Amino acid sequence: MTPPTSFKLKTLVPAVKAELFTDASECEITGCYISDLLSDVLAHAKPGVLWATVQTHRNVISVACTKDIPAVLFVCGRKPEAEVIKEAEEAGVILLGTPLTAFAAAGRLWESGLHE
Amino acid sequence: MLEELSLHILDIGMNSLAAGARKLEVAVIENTKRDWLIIRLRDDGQGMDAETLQDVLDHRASSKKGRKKNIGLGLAFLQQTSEMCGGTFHVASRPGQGTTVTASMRLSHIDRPPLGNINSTILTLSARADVDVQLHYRSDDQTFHFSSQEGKPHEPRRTQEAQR
Repeated sequence: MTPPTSFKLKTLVPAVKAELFTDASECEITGCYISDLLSDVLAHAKPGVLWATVQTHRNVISVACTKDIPAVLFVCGRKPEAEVIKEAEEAGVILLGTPLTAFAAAGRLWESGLHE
Repeated sequence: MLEELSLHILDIGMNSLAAGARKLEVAVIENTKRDWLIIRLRDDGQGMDAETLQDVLDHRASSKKGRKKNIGLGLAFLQQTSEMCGGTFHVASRPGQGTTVTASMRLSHIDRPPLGNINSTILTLSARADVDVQLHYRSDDQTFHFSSQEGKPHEPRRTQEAQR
């Protein structure tokens, strides 16, 4: 089985008009998972994906850590609290935000070549 | 946050069993007039000291640097659900004196998860024969009570029968 293609997160940032809340220079992702239910992410998200959600609660960081999710994309213009950004930095989770809906963001990520 | 409130109860109830509880009381109270839903789990398990409790609520159950793994998120998830639905969340615990978790939320809040399958949750928690799992359910004027030890012979009677 061929390993999943990984993308430099930084190269996908313009496609989703993303604002970076933490440093994303070294991050690579293998796909995208969209869900706002944390238990669903715990059950179904694959490690290495970019997680798109409207949830900005600090629990998102803990779930990302548990599932080895390197980066979280807050959609619909949602912005995390400063405390959440600090926790993400400490935990090594990258946070981005986009004004796009999850659907529009997914479409643009797909067009950029991210198909998993 | 989980799909059903019953799954929150199952998750936290399993913590009580892991903490050596012999009695676990689950209360679910719905008050439509005041627009409240209250969930309370009270156990007589080993309890937590203040520092451990704070670590659990702060997701610091694993204090390793960098990526956090295998941390218990049950209380944090219920806290998030409560606060998202206009309610409050409180944990009272002391070593040797058990733990009481109380979560409230607006009954009519649009993001409030449904109660879900409370029967399965209580049945699953009741699988341990040595633990008395109780459910107190109140919806306005209607009440329902269940105890997993109801109908089971008491210890003294069994002794008497053995002596005969």
